Amino acid sequence: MSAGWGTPEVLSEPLLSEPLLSDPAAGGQLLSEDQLAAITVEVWGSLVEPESMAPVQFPDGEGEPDRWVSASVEISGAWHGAVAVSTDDAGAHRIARALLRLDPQEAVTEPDVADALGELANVVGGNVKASLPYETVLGLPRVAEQEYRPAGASQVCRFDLPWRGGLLTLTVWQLAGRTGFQGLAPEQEGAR
Amino acid sequence: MTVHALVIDDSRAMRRIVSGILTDVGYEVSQAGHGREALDLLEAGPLPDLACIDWNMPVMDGLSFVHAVRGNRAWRSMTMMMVTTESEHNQIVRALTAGAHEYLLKPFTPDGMLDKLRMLGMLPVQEPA
Repeated sequence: MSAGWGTPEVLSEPLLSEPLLSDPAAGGQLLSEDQLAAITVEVWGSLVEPESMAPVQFPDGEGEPDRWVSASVEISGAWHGAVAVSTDDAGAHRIARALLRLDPQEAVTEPDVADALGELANVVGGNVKASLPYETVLGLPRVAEQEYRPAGASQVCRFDLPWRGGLLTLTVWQLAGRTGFQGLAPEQEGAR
Repeated sequence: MTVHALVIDDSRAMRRIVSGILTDVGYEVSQAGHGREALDLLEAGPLPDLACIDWNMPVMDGLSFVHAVRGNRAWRSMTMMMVTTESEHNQIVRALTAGAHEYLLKPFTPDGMLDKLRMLGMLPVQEPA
């Protein structure tokens, strides 16, 4: 057993070692679709469909048609934004079944769906947050039965992941009210 | 000898994933949805050998739980590993300074978690058949 104090010898690195979000007023580039895709694929391979496990079997007809589910986490501090995960209800049920490793005869409940999507948003959001060059805080996941479209926000990037006959959409948003980074002058905010 | 682990995460899915990895290597696992619930389990006893702790949780977060455990002499023998998306260096230092023994970032693979347990000396010894 280790002594328990001090920095571990080996720490897992963030998924992407370079800062992804930079000060746009200084000509920096916000998160790209490719970078969001890399985070999503890594999370998918570790949590939803790890190679070490056989693919989960899905029963037919699960989930309500024409109904959307979204989970989001807010990032606050020097930058104010959000990361959202959206899919149709059938897709949300499949994600929950895969994440929970449920057999086809086990039922997926609505709390299971909310929990699974919320955790996906949490992990993807946490890795996006990790790439910020400033100190920020990750909020707790929120789940809603609709697409995530925050009022007054601008979409930073989007990645669509086709999966097992459905589509998962991941988006990163800059939220209204805090338009930039620490130290950004009001006139620069207005110019953007 | 039976080894016990406590998995603390507000996500049932994550608790299930972590519990599955620990069960596969011989742990008996109990679960809690936040730090306060976990403290209630500790107070009820017996003391787990290992706690895997998420950071961001409602009611009581993981860092507060670590502080609470370190503040109770009867619980100090329990090994604590943070399992979280918080990856900033200063956050890691905060958790380790508070008393966590190891730190595992999400997303992780089963092998990644087992490597951490191996580093901690917390992989149960497999009894010969």
